Amino acid sequence: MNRRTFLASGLATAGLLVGTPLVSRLAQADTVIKLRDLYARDRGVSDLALSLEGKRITVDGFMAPPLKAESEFFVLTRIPMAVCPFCETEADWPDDILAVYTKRTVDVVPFNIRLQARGVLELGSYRDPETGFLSMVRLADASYS
Amino acid sequence: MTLALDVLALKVSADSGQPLLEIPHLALAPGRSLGIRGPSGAGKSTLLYALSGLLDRLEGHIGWGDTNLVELSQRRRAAFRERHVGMIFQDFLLFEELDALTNAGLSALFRPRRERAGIRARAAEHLQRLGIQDATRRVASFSGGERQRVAVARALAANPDILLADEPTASLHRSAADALSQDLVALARDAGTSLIVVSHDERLLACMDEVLTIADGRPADPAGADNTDADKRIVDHA
Amino acid sequence: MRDFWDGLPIVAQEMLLLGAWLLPILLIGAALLYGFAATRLIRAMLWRFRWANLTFVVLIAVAVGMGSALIAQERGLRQGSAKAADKFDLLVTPPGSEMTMMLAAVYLQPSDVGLLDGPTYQQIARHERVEIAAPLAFGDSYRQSPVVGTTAEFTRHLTDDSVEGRLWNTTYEAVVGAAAGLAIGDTFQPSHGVGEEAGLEADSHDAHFEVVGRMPRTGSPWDRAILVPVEAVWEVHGLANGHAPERRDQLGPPFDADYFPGTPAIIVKAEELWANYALRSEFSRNENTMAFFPATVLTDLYRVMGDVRQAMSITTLVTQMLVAASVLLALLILSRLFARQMALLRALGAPNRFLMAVVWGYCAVLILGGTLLGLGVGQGAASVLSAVITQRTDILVEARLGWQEIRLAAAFAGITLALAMLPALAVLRQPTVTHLRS
Repeated sequence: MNRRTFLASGLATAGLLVGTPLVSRLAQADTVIKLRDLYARDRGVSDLALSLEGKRITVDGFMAPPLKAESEFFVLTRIPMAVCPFCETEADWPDDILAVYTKRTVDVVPFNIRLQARGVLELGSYRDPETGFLSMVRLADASYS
Repeated sequence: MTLALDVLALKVSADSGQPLLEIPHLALAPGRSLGIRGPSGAGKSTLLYALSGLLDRLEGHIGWGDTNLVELSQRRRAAFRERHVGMIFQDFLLFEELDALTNAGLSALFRPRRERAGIRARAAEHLQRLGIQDATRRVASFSGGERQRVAVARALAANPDILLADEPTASLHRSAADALSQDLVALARDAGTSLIVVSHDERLLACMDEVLTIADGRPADPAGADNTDADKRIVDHA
Repeated sequence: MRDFWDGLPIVAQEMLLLGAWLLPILLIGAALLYGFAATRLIRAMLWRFRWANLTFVVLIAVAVGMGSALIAQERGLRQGSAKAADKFDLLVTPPGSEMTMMLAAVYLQPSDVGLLDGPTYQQIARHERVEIAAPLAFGDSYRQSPVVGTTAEFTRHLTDDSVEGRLWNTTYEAVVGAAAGLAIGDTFQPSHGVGEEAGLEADSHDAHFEVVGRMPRTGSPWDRAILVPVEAVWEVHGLANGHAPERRDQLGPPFDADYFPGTPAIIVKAEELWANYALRSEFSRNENTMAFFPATVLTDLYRVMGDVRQAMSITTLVTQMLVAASVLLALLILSRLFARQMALLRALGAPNRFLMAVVWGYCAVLILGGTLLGLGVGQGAASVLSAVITQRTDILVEARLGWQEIRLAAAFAGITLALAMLPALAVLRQPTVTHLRS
């Protein structure tokens, strides 16, 4: 069975357990943030990002081809990442991606399928002790669908 | 509280609708004992189970005190049995894996918690009176006579007003059968319990206050229970 | 609400899901058993039909065990192979099959591969974002061990800088994997090629290496490998050693493009997350090179494996259900065996709910016992399978039961226990008086 359907059914169950219809809960789900809005023009983080630091937010994007297999980590990109000889210059890179540290082992989604990642926004330079990767903006304890 | 039996125009049919038994009239005063005899297949046991409320296709009236079993639902009949009826069977029907005390106090398992201790205490008391020394032994190690005693203790543990026995001595050898017959009658008499026994055992029937003969699905004498004294006399002379 | 759920640790989430699966069963059980002391009778019945009961429990256990072992095993395989590829973020190779190159470079499977030339290597090594660019020169072997030429830097990266002994100081020194069968101080003579034919005297290289260091276990095929300076591999083949004549004793980078004989693969590591993606697209643009993440190739492989697993999961789920159905059918038949006891209980005036409680409770013990035992069987089977795979592939596979198997087992138990109401209801339909009389 698919993990996401399981999560969804879990949510539904949890909703029922508390006695509140899930639908009304989803209706008040917060707004989806665009990846680019997290970065300022000078490659730093935006005011929006600063105001959301430490909060659980939803960011929209695509899952990049995985750098690590069977990890709790993936890279969210603004546009589907394929190897395109014309449109990718290094200058585009840093503000196009977001490191997402997931709650559960990532079930890889093809790079061209849009998804929403939801997790706690973390800012500041962080070196992952396991992978050695350096990132500036992250979602922690995340799930996606 | 004791209950008088009053049966009127009772008709019992098989599931196919074929008539099994017709009893125009039968009465038994509270605390009295009644033996039912007759050839095999005559309908003796059918009468006994009809009186216990275990049969469904009934017409007429089976009155135990103010209760007419014919009118009750299956569920209410079960509840009536639970409160008022103890039953004894030819094959004892004990749980071989359980000890004598648990078997004798079996109804404690589904009775309300507050009644359980009383049932167990009475079960132990009856076992002792019936000569079962070690009540913690598993009944699998008991002789036939001992098993039937455990079954009697089980039937009496819930303090019933009515004791129904279906061929209680048929699986026992002679001496055990005689000992059990005496105990059964004595216990019923002491407790003031009405006792109805279906049996081929003339020695057991001889201990009963009244005897009814059933043949071919009806009382052998059309007058039914009114004529039981005549039967009694025959038994006495046998 | 959603934030609350998302913020819960995995254990709490799983417990709630498990609870959701098992709650109906707890409710049924509570509704049936409340106020009764049915356990004595259930125990008596379990004991009376102990051999049949044991058979049911074993049947259920095998069905549940096979399903959970399969899932645990597949996950173990994924985790093991992923972990073996953990140190290989970005691989640059001559154009060709990513799968072949990954198998050759990451899992050291012998294959026929081309070479990247000096200028290409130079371009990668000098890139400002590249932290490590290590050539991997494979092809030679010693006994069953592949001999791989690389740099000291990569050896440190591979072992997290925990080599026992020391790294090489001269060209003909080697660092061996934990399972290579060589100890510090041993000497050996590598031969050309890999496999059965390698090791023939005629094919041996005329060079002797001394083992100076030993790597800790990595749980990957590199445990069997022998690492030597890449310069040594070039030299034993009679090629230039990567450095200009005036620096011919130098080991490791920088290499001279003009004296660089070529390498089949380059492992690249970049510190910044985004740089890995940038380098991947940059080196892919070059027509002489191909750049890819081994993890992505693995993930594609896992997706195929996952499809197979899903097909097999459905098969095992169906098997489990069939086993459950046959067990329930058997219980239905068995319930005739204790029809006399049930008839007796009715004669004593026991309510219907009590009869159902006894029969359902009896089924519940068998089903829950079988399911729990099944999880144990699954763990055992998965451990044995993992050990076999680890032994054959050198990839450390550790299969442990995970939440998915537990969830499946809970679902199985939940559904089957609900179905166990059927034998319980069937008992109520049995005629009473017939069973009271012999």
